[in-house]
Amino acid sequence: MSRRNLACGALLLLASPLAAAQSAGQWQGPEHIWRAICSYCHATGVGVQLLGTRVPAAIIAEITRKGVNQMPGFAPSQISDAELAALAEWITRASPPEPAKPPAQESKP
Amino acid sequence: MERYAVLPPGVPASRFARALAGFRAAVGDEHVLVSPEELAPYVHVMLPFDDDAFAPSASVSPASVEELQAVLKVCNRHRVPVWPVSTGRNFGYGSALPATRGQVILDLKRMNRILEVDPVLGTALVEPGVTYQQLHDYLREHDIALWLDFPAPGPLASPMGNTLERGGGQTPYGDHFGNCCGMEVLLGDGTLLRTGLGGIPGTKSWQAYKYGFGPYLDGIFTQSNFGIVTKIGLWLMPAPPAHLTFLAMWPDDDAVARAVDTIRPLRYDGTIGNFGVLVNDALLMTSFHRRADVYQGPGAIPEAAVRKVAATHGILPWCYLFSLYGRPELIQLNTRVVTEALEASGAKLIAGIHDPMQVNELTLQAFSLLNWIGSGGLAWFSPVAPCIGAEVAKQNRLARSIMDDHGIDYFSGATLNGREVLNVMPMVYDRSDRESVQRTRRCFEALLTRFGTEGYGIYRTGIGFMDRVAELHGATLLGVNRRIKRALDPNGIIAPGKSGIHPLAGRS
Repeated sequence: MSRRNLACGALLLLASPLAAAQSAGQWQGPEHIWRAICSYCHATGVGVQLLGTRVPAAIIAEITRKGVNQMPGFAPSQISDAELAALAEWITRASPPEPAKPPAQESKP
Repeated sequence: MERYAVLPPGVPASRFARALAGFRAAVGDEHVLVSPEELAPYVHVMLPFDDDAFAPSASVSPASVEELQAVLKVCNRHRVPVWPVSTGRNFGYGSALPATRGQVILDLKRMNRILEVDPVLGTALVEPGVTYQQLHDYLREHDIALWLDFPAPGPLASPMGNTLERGGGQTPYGDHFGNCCGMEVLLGDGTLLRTGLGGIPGTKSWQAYKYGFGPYLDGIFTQSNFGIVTKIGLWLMPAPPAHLTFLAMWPDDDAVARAVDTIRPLRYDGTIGNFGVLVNDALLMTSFHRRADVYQGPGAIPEAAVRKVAATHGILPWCYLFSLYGRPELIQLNTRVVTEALEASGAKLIAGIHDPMQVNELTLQAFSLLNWIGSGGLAWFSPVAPCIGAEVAKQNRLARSIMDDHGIDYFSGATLNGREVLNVMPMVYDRSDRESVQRTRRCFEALLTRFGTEGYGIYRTGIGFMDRVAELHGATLLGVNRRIKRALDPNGIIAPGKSGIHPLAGRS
């Protein structure tokens, strides 16, 4: 990358305050939603493991929208219908997670 | 004419239809939801009431202050009440649901601009729909060495919402309202107010100096329905050069008073940098077990059963998680100070614990608590105690005995300041069982009554209990709040019933 391109890149970053925006219509794809929301429960044991289980997309979309038991619902103001459909499809097709790496830091007893 | 499943109180269907048309003109059709099917994402009260008791009549999601002003005009014209939520993640306090049935949820999630971050002064100015996750990602992307202070639902919740609820977190900036500076507020009568120094054209120090000139107003917009906050200034903590998290554990159940009296001076003089959390073994145990795996008997889980399982994880009856922050030399010195003091009180101390919330790491691990029973029932009973060991111990004894009487498991997760203790007690119950819902509600009410009699206040409460809690804090205070409400929101359209403040005196 040339020096000039680098400079343009840096300017772009400063000029795009919505780079990290996370409401309906602003997500950068299903993986972005997974990382910023779903993974906190569904990749940590707080919620059920989803990746690699092939739960049908329609069921994932329905439960994500409405919530069930301790899982809250996610309104269209946060995830649009189209984004939700893409997310559900991505989760359905996702491979099982890699086996957990040894924790980097000491965990709670 | 269209039929509606739920209507705002006192608003006929024809008038509601005109209001909805006004909302659609203001924000666009797709941002107004009306059918119960569409509103389902918002309807999870978690508290021991039927969801239907707080069913909203609609939701409307503006994307800007201008759209919000247009919505508010419609509300005033048609006398339709709205319940503002930033992200609606007030879990265990009512989530997004209004204090009374039929209000329109004013969902501000789409207003999510990070308007300014000043890395030099360590300040930010954000809109309601910005989540902690979004702001955290922003700081990382821009390589800004400032920390955030998260409440338990961190990634999902908003700095705006949690600050306005006077929530708390686990770093030295844990008092969220104490670390907010300047607000923009849309009042019920349409006035757009900027507090502090925000009213000066070209203001230079809106997020730097809180108090402005004359009466300091920001507090009246917290746990409040006097206006809709559209921008909030935040103070952010400079990333500390070093930090070290500890777990102190006391082996006896009577240790609480001793623990509090030992921690108080260390908090009071700033040696311990954050509130920390003083938890009982039962609460820590929920990270590892579900209730059904450890107890199947009747009533609340007995202490002996908790102790037996906790012991297998090396957990003692009372545990305090806290951190030291600062330069390495200071941490070294303070490690000696806290070790000496805590060990003298009978605690076993482990250094180098990892507790994400204490070190700027987003997590939802605290909500593994909800897996204890698993049906989404949660109510926080959160009395305030002076930071005096005997008082905290008394509150715990009282609460435990009332919960025992009602068959509710006793969990304790108190946060400690030098002067006060927010003695937070999450009540987890079986929401799929009607009897359990009713029993939990009776228990909560019994707790309120008894704690009120004993002279204790409540830090924060959820919908369904707000009238009771407001009464407990005195009729004069409530009366003054109602007078302010009438002055700023004459038609009473913003969040009627929030904190027990109803627009009309003598509510039925």
